[in-house]
Amino acid sequence: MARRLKPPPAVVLGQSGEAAGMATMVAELVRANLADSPGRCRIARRARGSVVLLADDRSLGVTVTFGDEQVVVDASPAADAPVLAGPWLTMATVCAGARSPLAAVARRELHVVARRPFRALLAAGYVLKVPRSIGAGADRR
Amino acid sequence: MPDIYTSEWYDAVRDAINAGVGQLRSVPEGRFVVAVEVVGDGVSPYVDAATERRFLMEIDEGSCLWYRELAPDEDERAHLDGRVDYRFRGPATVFDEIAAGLLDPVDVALRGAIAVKGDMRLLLRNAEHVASLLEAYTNAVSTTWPLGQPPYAGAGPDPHGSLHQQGAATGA
Repeated sequence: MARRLKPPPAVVLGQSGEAAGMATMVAELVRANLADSPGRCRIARRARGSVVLLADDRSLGVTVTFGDEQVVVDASPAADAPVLAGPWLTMATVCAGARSPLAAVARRELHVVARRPFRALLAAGYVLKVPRSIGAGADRR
Repeated sequence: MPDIYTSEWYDAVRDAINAGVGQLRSVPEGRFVVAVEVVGDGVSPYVDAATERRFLMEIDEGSCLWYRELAPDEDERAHLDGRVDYRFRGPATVFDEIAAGLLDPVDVALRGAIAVKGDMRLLLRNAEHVASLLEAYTNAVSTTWPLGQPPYAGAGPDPHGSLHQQGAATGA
């Protein structure tokens, strides 16, 4: 008998805030990644806690919170969560998998403020990262 | 200098987009169609209140192939083989202020004043290209404003709240 696959965790927009557009983009990114990737679903189900993604060149941030069978994206930064911060363009290309987050942190283009729980930050990094198979651009270098 | 929202102005924007694409390290593969919906808000003199101006644009390997403004009752599907990949919708005053260099389009999108619909994964993966497109729209074309230039007197000191906190376009 075939095992029934669990549906992906729900992705919901939480509290409104200044970064409403950024929250919608991040929520749609996570929703699409979870729909395509059982591995990302597993990580999203197991993770607990919140992560702030801060576009520090625009003073805008969102909070991604992992909970029971859902991921909530709030349009403002939580005060007590670990933070991944950097310019929006760098943040976007790292989230999209076009650049390595480790390389961006090593080059100090992104920085991490690791308040606990740090594991939520690692989970968010994986869940947000777009699979390489999606829409790679044509390299002109 | 072309008037805003005329064929000449969109030709100039298209040329600016295509000139900018030549400077990019990578471009999105394939074709995609972008729809822009500029909604009359009773403040901008270029779009009547309770109406909207709609535009379609096709991008191929990063370059703008064509754009067209749709008539009010025209079905956008008549011009498409497939579907619209990205849709940008917002108040006319916001679009006008972006074109005048008063608002940063990336800031506007992140704050939600212009709604963006489409596959966010491709959009973020091609963020450098998107920034180049927006830069062309914002800063690359000298525009004339025959009915008056933003900021509009009737809009009050800050009609879009915190949108103006970041100042003029920062080049994304």
